[in-house]
Amino acid sequence: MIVEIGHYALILSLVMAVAQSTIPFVAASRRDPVLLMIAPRLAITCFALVAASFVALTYAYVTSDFSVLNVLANSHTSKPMIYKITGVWANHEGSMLLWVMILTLFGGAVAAFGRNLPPTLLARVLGVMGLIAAGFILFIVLTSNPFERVLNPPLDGEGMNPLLQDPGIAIHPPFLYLGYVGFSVAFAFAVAALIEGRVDPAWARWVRPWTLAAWVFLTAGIGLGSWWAYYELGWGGWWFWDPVENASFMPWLAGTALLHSAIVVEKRDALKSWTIFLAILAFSFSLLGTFLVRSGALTSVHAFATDPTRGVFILFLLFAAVGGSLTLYAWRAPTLRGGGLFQPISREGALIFNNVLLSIAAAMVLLGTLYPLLLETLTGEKISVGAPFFNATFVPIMTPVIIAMAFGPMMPWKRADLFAVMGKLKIALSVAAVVVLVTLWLSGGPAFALFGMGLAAWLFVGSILEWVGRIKLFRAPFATSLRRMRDLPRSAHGTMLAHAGVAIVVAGITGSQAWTQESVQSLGIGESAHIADHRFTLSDIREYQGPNFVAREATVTITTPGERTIVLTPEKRVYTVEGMPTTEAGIRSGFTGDIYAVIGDQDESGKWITRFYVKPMIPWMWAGGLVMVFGGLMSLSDRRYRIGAPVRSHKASAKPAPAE
Amino acid sequence: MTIAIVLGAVTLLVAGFVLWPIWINRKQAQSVRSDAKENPSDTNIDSKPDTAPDILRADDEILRDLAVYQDQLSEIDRDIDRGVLTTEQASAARIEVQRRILNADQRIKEQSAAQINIKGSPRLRPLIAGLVALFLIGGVGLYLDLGSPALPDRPIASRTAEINAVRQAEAMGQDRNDVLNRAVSDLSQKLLENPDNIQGWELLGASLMALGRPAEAQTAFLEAVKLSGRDGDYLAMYAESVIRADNGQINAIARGALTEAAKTDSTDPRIQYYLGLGDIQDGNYPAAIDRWVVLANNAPADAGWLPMVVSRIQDAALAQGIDIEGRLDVKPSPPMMAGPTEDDVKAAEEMTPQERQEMIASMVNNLAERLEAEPENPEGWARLIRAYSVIGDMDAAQAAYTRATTQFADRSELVARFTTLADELGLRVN
Repeated sequence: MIVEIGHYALILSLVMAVAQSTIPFVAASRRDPVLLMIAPRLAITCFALVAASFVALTYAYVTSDFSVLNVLANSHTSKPMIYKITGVWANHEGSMLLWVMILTLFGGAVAAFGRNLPPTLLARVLGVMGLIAAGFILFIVLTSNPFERVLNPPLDGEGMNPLLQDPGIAIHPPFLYLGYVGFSVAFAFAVAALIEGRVDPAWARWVRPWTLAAWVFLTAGIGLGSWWAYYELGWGGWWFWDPVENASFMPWLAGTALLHSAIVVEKRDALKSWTIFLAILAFSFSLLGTFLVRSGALTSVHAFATDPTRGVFILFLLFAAVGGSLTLYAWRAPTLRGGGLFQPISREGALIFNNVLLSIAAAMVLLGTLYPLLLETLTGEKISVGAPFFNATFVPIMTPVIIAMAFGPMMPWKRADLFAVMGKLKIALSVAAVVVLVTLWLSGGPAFALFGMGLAAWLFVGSILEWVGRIKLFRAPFATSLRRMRDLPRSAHGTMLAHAGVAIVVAGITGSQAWTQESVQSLGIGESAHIADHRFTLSDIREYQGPNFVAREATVTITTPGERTIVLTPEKRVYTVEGMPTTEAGIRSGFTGDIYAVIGDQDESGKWITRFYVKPMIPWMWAGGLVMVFGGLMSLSDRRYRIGAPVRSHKASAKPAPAE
Repeated sequence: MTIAIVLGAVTLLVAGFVLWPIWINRKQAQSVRSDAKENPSDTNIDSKPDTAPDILRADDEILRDLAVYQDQLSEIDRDIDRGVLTTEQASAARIEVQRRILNADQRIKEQSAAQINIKGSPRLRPLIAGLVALFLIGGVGLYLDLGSPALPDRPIASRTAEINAVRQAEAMGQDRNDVLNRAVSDLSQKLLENPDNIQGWELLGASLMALGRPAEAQTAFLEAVKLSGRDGDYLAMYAESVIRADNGQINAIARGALTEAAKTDSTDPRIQYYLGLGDIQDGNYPAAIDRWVVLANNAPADAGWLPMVVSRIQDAALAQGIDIEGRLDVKPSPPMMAGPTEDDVKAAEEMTPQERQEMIASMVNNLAERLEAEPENPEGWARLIRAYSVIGDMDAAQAAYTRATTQFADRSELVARFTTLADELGLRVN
């Protein structure tokens, strides 16, 4: 019965979403106070219903109820409990349900925390979110219903892709979706603002926390995805410019640009039209990503579904959302009045510079992702646009962004003195020069590594310097600095951390690209190989039985140049139900880098094929990502952006706002 | 039924929550109206009373905007402190912010002046409530179309009995198939050397049939038919294999073989049974019933196939409304443990797992009681041992096994059978 209640809840949520996409617009245009009060209730109900159906599906997975087709096709009784739960979204239907649940969660959150928004704006925002939700719930109910039943269920299910039976990948989709779908809030605010015909600093302030939250989640999701690729796919790579990765990267680039341009709207009442455009763009990229992944236009780990009707349906939703919003933009954007004037060399100027380059970068990624698809559709010719294209275009575009990132926060609004800022950054420049020299002395190159490390040092020191300047460290007594640090708005700490995080990521990428050493060889037990002054010895091979797989586990003993001994146990597993092999790399992470070992099959001579890597600095990449996420969270916790910030003096004393 | 109540409650809850503001406002409006009636002196009696909370006040909007600008002003102070702004720049910036405040104030005033007259439309509210109700009805309809409200949950934990049965069947099927496969290869070898062995061909055919390979069995039986000079019994076996290979269709070859067999003195019941089935496939029910009635009336009372034929006669008669009253003079003794009837199965589907367990337990108990009364029934004992192990009561299974071997201690072939069974089920064997 629980399963059927879940199904009914899903269908009722469709009903609520349809109501949510119509009634609030009527209410807002009539300015009817009673009907305006219904809008948030619709959004909250819609979320509650989708959540209930998600819980029901999870219940079916946990109890292995194979009378549900979706459970039958994607689960198995011998699977460990955690993967029974994560199996809910490790398939097309379930992951669409998760997508919609997060969408309605954001809708519900806007409704619950949006009491300080002008009621008509709130209603229209919820209306737009209702439209999106209605489209996607309809998609689920009609083409991808996870509650389809089986009359005579077999006694066991068909299992789940073993590559996805991994803790990292298990939590990656929820984060990624929180990011993707989070941009729907900014999108809804943008469309609502176009309908209302008004964008002002207050609007930007409401949009910012939602965009920031989406950005934090998307950053974490991308980080988790690349980390998973690194240790699970077993070839030591972490980013492949795979179309699915690009699909998550494009909204990230657009979202990062949006985050920065929204600051300009808030502080300077300028860049309104552009910010609206970016908000539409960021969510359009999210939808495009959903389309690419879900339609089967691409085949990859992510393409659970290759059903043409589904593809056409999502394509239709994509055109409706993107086309509709851009038409509205073309019609209403010219009426938005711009505000403050500014010089090219100013905080605004730096932010525009960042925006333009991030947008170009997103456009390059879009081109590289879609061009092969278009070419194949039009001419049937298959080409692959890979790392060389992206490296050749992406690196030159992002380099100036990183150089400017150190400048931006130091510049005042309206007009700045470039030489004065340069003066403040001379320490950063000197540190960067020292780092380049030290790198040259230690490694002797290559040139791009020297450049990359210099760039990272420049940005890192530059970001810290700005923060140091704000708290007057070394220029005032330490106690004063400490007090100033406490008084600093959290978003200032956030900026520093996020920018420093980027610097750490850049260093990690540069180091691992430049100095990774690898070797593939056949080893008998007791034999050794030497890589980068490390001795890798294959000490033992054993086989064991896991809960739902059999594994071959190698013991690899590594002696480092410093005579330390490290033992790694890479595995090769075969999942019995699915009959699929997976690689579990043995990895030891340290501050200076990773040591990475993979065990393969036996060759004809009875030796084992092994692959060993020494990857300097690679953990920095994920550490930097974490620092960025932490910076985002810090900024999000800024009291000024906390939902419900503007306190209503006459009511606050009687009834405290819920968010406080 | 429970599900209908739950779904109905969910629907009402949703409708209630969503439409609450309309409802509450309507009630307040009514009470205001009745107050007005009691006070005829009230001059506003004709104006529509609307007690909706005024959430669109212009004051609030100004306050909201002011908070943002206030913050920008304090940030200018911080920037001076940091040294990124000179005093001169700062005062320019302050003037700019103040200008924005004035603009916002102006805009909001204009707006509220323009919109004061189009505020609210109470007549629309019942319409919207009706619309929501209509949507909800549509949702119920869509669910009834797509959902399966009658289907219960089937969590794996409630399906132990099913799993045990399947496991056991698999294990038994495996053993049996091993034996049969060995028999097939042995027989084939022998028949290569001595192709005139009729019994050999018959056994090979029967083994292949048991293995579910009727097409191959067909050739083996055909050899037996030829060697026996078209004996009726072999013709019947041959026909059965042809029918099985053709998914139960009585095709021309099968019919030819059966008709030929019917002319011999063979009493193999399959001949008349399949000929009757052929009649039914032709739509000739009375002919089939005639055939089967003769078959049933001439059958030995303990024939294992008799109940099946009787029930087919009854089904056919029922389907065509043919009266067979008094024509059957057989009273098939009820089998020791009757298989569950269709009603039982239907009832079992609607049961909770616990009820189902209880039903199985009570069936097993009935069998045990009957065996206590009439213990001379080896078939029944074997079934009881197996039934206990299926419901997981291994102690009872063990006891039944011991009891059965004592009962038939003087019949070694039966003791051997029980022991094999016990071994299969993992019981202690003495």
